[in-house]
Formats: sequence, structure tokens, C-alpha cells
Amino acid sequence: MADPRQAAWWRRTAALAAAVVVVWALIGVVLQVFDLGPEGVDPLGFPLAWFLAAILAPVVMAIVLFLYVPWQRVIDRSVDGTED
Amino acid sequence: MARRQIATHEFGTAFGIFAASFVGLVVIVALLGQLGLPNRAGGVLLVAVTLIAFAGIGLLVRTMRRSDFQYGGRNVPALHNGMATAAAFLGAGGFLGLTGAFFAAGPGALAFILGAIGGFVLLTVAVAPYVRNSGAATLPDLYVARFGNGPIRLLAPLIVLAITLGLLVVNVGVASTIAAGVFGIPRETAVVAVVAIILLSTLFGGMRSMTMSGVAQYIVLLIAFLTPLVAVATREFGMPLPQAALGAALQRLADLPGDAAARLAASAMPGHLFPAEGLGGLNFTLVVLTFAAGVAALPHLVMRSIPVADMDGARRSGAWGFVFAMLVVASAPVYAAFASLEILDGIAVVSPDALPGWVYSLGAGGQARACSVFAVSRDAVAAACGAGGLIDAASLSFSGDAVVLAFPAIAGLRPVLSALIAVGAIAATLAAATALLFAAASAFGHDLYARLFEPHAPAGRRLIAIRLMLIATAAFAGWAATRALDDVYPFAAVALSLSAAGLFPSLILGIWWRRCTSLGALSGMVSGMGIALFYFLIVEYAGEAPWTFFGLSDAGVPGFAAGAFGLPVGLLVAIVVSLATPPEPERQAALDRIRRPASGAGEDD
Repeated sequence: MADPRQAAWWRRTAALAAAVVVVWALIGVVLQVFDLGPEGVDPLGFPLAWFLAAILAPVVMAIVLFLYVPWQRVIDRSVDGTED
Repeated sequence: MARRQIATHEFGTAFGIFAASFVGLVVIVALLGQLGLPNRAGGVLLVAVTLIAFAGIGLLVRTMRRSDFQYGGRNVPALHNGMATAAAFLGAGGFLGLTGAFFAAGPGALAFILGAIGGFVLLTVAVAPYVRNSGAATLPDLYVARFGNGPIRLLAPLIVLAITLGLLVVNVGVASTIAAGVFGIPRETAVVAVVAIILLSTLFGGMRSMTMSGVAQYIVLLIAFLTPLVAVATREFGMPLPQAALGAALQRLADLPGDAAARLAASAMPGHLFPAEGLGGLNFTLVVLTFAAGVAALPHLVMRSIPVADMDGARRSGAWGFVFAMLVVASAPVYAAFASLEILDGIAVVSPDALPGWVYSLGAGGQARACSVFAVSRDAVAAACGAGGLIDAASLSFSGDAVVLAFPAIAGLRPVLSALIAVGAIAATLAAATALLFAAASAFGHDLYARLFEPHAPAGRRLIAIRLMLIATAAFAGWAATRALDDVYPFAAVALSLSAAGLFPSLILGIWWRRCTSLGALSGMVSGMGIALFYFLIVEYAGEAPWTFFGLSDAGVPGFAAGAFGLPVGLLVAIVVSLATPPEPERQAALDRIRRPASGAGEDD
């Protein structure tokens, strides 16, 4: 990728993609902390891990993805790549 | 841009009318039921009209243009493409199997939700935009664009076929079983009807008509899946948002005396579609990672990034696909919790005579047991339980795969909702089967035949080749679906592992690592696929005890999660071989073109 603007675009694109994947990985780690096994920890009096994984994790990732898309669009415009 | 706006407007209007018509149909069938129409006739009416609508969409959207047939016209709005993507992803596994996994295996099934989330994230940010930008018509096309015309052009479509055919047969089989039950016709006849509908959805309009029917099928499956849940959440918990009632439902289950909920889950017959038993500890994490990588490289999902306008459209389509898929996926644990609660609340300690009719309906289909026998009749259960023998709900045994379809009856909802859930399940399986059929036939007709034997064939001949392969593949799927599905289920369950091990390493490294060479990608593909297939076969068919994950996991890795071995091996081999072979400037230049926004890569028409 000889064009320096293209190279810069790719670095920012890759960093943003990595950040989104890291958020997903962090959600997985958080849920592991609450122990998803049948004998799992139940810190608040109801099955928190179930609730987090089944409901909150998709909601959080949906928000992240819908922030990611316009952010990436801004990065794309930095190389005048996308048509409007 | 103007073309896209017009298309968005047309899509929105057309599918708004379709959704309103479907809701109207459901209301009419419910009213006719109130006026005395037999439940069975109402179910036949609802399912038949919906299936005719699906077939009609396939017939209406015809094309002879390759840009429409293989690329969907490149102007499908991201929102609607997301719906079609979610429908193709869900299929029988998402609509029926995931709830079954939660019902029978409990928290371990969360691995599939986390895996699905990761899969859509990877698809949206790391795969789909670049597949769209490459101008590829299929996933193997992307490998050829990135790595050239080496042996990978032959191997990639073969792996695509290994992944898609098992899933295709299972989805056709499940759709046929449900349709046969609704219409009261022989299963073989139902298979013919199902094959006819999926052929109509692809044969004349290809990607274009498949997208249209996929959107319609998503609308139907979503309404069907959520309506019974909303009804029970409102009735039992006073809130119309089922997900918000999950915590309360789980708490109520935990408060039942004598570990009834745990006993009900422990006695459940494991589902075939998502075998989730014993997923704890490291195995849980391995399944999450395998599932995520598998979803991101699933050929029929990757192909769904093709009909949008550009890279940005592919990203928005992926994000919408995630939302639409999660509306169903995140409701699966709610279904399982509500079903357990309704079963345990609804059946006290009773004699076989007092068991509700739906128990015997499930028993007749081999999906409910009482006193260790299938609950085919009151006499059979009475004989097994002994004279005057009483049974409680927790000592009954239900198949996880049956929970969603039986849910309206279990919860005592109106009969029209039983028909609604049946048509939703058929819509989900048809959507997945149609996408899988198109992916498999494209692998035969486009990637294998046209590229190997007629690389310079005109567009018309290529379309004929794909259409012939659509007919042949559909005929094969129909033939296989008439046989016992028990033989095919393991191949469907392992499909995501094969995708993760065989396709994902070379796909992700090919896009994100310039140093990845053709030989490295090929080596990763061969080794990953080889290890996963070998492990799956020896565990499933040779009686080999499951291996632990290099001594790190407490329990053996299940056969369906063979990608846990194939994925890291494939990645490692691809990296090592790439570093051991000289860089390929020509291939790196090809990658630069694939990555570059609005690079103009496009199809020939």
C-alpha cells in the first residue's frame, strides 16, 4: 500500500475494527467472571449472568455496531473514497 | 445514490404491505376460528396462503441479467438485506434448536448466543465489506481474487459444499416435517412442495428473488416467534416485553420446590439441532470462539454482502442483520424459561388420564416420554407408570427441539398461534434452505464448472450452469431429506466447525494480513479442515473418546465442536507457511484493491 493516505486509512480502519472485536471479547470475559456454569455465582439474587448474556450483551453490541458504521464512514471519507 | 433511494422506497412500501397483509391473514384466521372454523382448517389456510406468497415472490422476481441473478442488482437497501441475512442465519437451528438447547442444557447454551454475537461482529467489520468490494459473486471467488487461480479455487468450493449440503438437507427435512403435520399429508409429498418453493425462490431470479423472499420470510418468522412470547409475558408478568420478564421467570423457576426446574431440564431429551450438553469451563469458551469464526465465514451468510451498493452498505447490512438475528436469538432463553414454567405450573401431580393432550401429541412424534416410554397414548403411559401411578411434570421428558412448536399449546394459547408458530418455523427453514441452496449450486455451477471448464463462457451459459445446478442440488436435498434425518443432523451440527476450521483462517488472514501467501492460505485451509473433519469423524463414528483441549479442559471437546482444534491449527499453519514462503507482491496488490474504498471492483455482466 504505497499511497500514504491509503496506508493511514487502513491503519485507522484496522484500529477501529480491532476496538469493536475487543468490546465483544470483553463482554465474554465479564460473563465468564460471573460464571455461566449451572452452579454459577448468583450475586444479586437472580441469575445475573443469564440476563447479561441473553439480553444486555446483544444490546451493547448493537449500540457498538451502530456507532462503528458512521465512524468508519468518516474514516472512509478521509481518503475521498465513498460516493455520496 | 438516486437508484438506491428509489429502491429503498420500493422495498419499504412492498414489504410494509406484505407485513400488514400477513398480520391481517392471521387476524382473519383467528376470527374464523371464533366463528367455528376447525383449528386444523385454520392452520392449513394460514400456512398455505403464506407458502403461496413465498412462491409468488419467486415467480414475480425473474431476471436474465447476471448482475441481478448473481449480484442481486447491487442496490438492495441495507436494512432489508439485513433481514434476509438474519433469516438465512437462523433457519431451523435458530428458530427451533437454540430454544431446545436452553431448555435441555441451560446456561451452557449461552455459548451459542455469545458465538453468534461474535460471528456477526466479525462478519460486519472484518469480512462482509471486503467481500462486497472485491466484486466476488461467491466466497470462493474472493479467494481467487486474493490468492489467484491456484488449487484454492478447487478446494474452496469443495469445502463450501461440505458445509452447506448437510445444513440444506436438515432445513428441507425440518420444513417438510412441519408442513406434513399441518397439512396431514405424507412427508414425501411435503418434501416435494418444500423443494419446489426453494427452487422457485432461486431458479428464475437468483440472488435478487432470494433476497426478496428472504425479507418476506424474516417478517413472517419474527411475527410468529415473538407473538406467543409477548402473549405469555403480558399474561404472566404484566409486561409485553418478553426479554424484560426473563429475570422474573428464572427467579420463579428457582423458587419452585424440590428442584423441579433442574429435574425437568435434566430429564429433557437433547435436541439434535444444537447439542449443548456439558458446555462448561474451557469448552464453553472454545465453542464461543468456534461458533463466532464459523458464522463469520459461513458461505451463505458471506454471500449476503454481495447485493448491497458498497462497502458502507455491507457494514450497515451486517449491523442490521445482527439486530434482526438477535431479536430471535436473544428470545430463545426466554422461550425456554417460559416453557419450563408453563409445564411445571400447568401440570400438577396427576394420573396419566389427566395429562394434557399436547403431551400425547408430542409423544406420538417421539418428543415426549413419561415413565421411560414415549407418551404415545394414555394406555401406554398408564401401563408404564403402573396401576394408579401418579406422575409430576418434572418426571416427564421432552425433546428440546419440540419446545417452540409446542409452546402455544403448552401455554394454553389460542390455536391460531400454534399455526402461526408452525408457519414461522417453515419460513425460517425455507429462508435458510434457499440461501444454502444458492450457495451450494453456485459452488457447483460458478466456482467448479464455469471456472474450471469454461472460464471464458458468456454470462448466459454461466447462468444456465448455475440454474441446472440449482435443480440438481435441490433434487439431491429432497432425496436426502426423505431419508432419516438422524443420519444428517451430525453433519449440520458440525457445519460451523468446518466453516471455522476450513474457511475462516485463510479468509481472515487473506483480508487482514498482507504477508499471507497463496501457499499459506492453502495450507491453512487443508490442515484446518483436515483436523476438524478427522476429529469429528473419529468421535462421532469411530467411538473415539472426546479429547481434552491439549490437556487444558476438564471434559472432552464434543465432536460437533471439532473446529476448536481445526481453527487454531489452520491459523497457525497458514501463518507459519506464509512466513516460510516468499512475499507475493502481485497478490498483495490484489489485496490493496480489495481493501480500497470504492475501488470499483465489480462484476462483468
